[in-house]
Amino acid sequence: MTIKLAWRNLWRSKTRSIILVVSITIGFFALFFFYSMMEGAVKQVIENIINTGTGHVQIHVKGYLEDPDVKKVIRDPDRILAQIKDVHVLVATKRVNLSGIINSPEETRPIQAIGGVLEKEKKITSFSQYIVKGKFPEKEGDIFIGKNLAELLKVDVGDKVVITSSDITGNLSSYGFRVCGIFETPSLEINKYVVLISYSAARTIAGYDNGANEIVIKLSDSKYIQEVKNNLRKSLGAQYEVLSWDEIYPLLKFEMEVFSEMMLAFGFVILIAAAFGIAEVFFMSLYERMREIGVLRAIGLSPGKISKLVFLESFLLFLVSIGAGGVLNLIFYLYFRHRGIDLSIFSRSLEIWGSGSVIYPYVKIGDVLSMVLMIFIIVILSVFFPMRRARKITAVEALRYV
Amino acid sequence: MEIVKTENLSKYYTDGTIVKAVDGVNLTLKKGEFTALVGPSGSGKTTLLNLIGGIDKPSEGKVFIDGQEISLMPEKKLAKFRLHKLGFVFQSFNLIPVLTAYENVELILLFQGVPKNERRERVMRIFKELGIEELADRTPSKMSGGQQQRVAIARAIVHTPSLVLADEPTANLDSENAIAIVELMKKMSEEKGITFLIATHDSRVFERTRRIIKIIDGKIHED
Repeated sequence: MTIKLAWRNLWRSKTRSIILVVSITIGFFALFFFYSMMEGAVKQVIENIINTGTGHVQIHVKGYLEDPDVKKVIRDPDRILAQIKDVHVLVATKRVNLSGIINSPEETRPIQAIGGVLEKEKKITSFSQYIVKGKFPEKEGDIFIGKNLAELLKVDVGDKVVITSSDITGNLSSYGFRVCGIFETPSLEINKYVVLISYSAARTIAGYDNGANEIVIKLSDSKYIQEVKNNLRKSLGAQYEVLSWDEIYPLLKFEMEVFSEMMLAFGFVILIAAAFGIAEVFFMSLYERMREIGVLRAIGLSPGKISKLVFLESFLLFLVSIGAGGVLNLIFYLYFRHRGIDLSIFSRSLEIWGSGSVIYPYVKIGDVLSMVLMIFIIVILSVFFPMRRARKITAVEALRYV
Repeated sequence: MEIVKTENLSKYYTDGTIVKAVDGVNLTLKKGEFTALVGPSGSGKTTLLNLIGGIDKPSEGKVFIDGQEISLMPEKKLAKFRLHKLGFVFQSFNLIPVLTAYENVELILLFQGVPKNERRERVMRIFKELGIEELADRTPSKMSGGQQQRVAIARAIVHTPSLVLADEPTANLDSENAIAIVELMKKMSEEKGITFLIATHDSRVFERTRRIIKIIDGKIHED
């Protein structure tokens, strides 16, 4: 009966309750929308980082991450590759990474060259998906460059460029390439600075016999990173560093986590502001039926039961709003999860961020539960003072209330 | 057997000067008494009723209901006491507008923890006794004033309290309904042995009571 009474009290003023439900529903949806978009974008940035070079796990000789000197070489990469037999490993390959400059007939730019086994790189990276002109490199003299770099160098497919970098002896070494293709990933950074060349050409520039300075591993799922990393650390020993993508880019991981938390905190602040409005409505609803509260008190309802009644009304309001918001969020999520939302209007900033202009919303169930909890806290905060008032008022005061 | 006993019961308000709303009232009501508390407006009838009903605290004096002193009871205990021992009838009926007549009456038994089947039986029995069975499913907005007051009486007596306090129960009713309501309360008092104390200045009411207590300026003037 208390629930029935609370439910009917809630709908006593239909318009007001509907406005309140709609407000909370929209608040829930807004929180869900922004958070899922932010999480989706963060996920995409991470996936892009993993898919455009970093992979899930990398192996170097100890100290390479701190100082990526070309002299820090893995002498026998094929032996290490042969040891990587984990079932979760999709592809593993060796690389020679080079920092240097690239010259076109007209311009010179700094670059990071990935010298990889091309057929493996096709599987490990997603560069082949981002071809805007030409084709993926196939032979030793091919170079695959980003669209922004091509524009800066004023080169096109078929043009010649030269990469110059330090070799293992400390001397400068150059190698001529022909642009075979141009890519455009979601990241401006990659489009401007990263080029893909063959392992053999990179090895020639670096002056390695059969070495590499990086082994990169792609897994079937990010959840296996820790397991694979730990196994490799045990089997390879202390002379190698085995790192996951977030250890390679710790700042990026920190930024992503901060972004997500900031989004929830921001939503919480907005909801706290909304709490004042909700409290106002609860107060209004309470004062409107003060005499009834007086009657209930007079006939023997304890102060605690009166405040429980007010709480129940707000709880039912919360349930209705969460239900409506949940349905709205589910429809939004199911519709856009795989279609994505095109935010080309912000493409420049998204390119800098590296997420791509189409964002695919993403949330974890735990995050949704956090949102629901946040809204619950807000509703409880909103109803706290009305509940307190309902508890404190005496029957006589309430019965005299006009 | 004394149902109500007050000893030197007083209620003062301070508003610059001290206003004595109830001033040293000594009163006893026996089981089944059907009594009118009369007096002009502002004489302290409602305040005295509130003090006896335990919904207001006295400034001085004591109130005993069924032998139990209620003036010093903590609020939670007092609420429980009211729930079991007292019934209230108000001038403006004060039914809960979102509940049907049946639910309004059932509410008391529900809060007392009476099982569902027993609740139904007792509510329907009282509806039958008061002749308001057809009102069971109506909400207050779909009832006349007389009908609402009958339901309010049902709510006040469904749990067979020791005492029913009625504050101007006929003030908002026409003559016919007013007389019918008083007769109904009188019948219930006689049949169930419930003590009624009715604050009123309506002659149609006090003409039908056995005892009339007259209060002026917060003091009992005549009994």
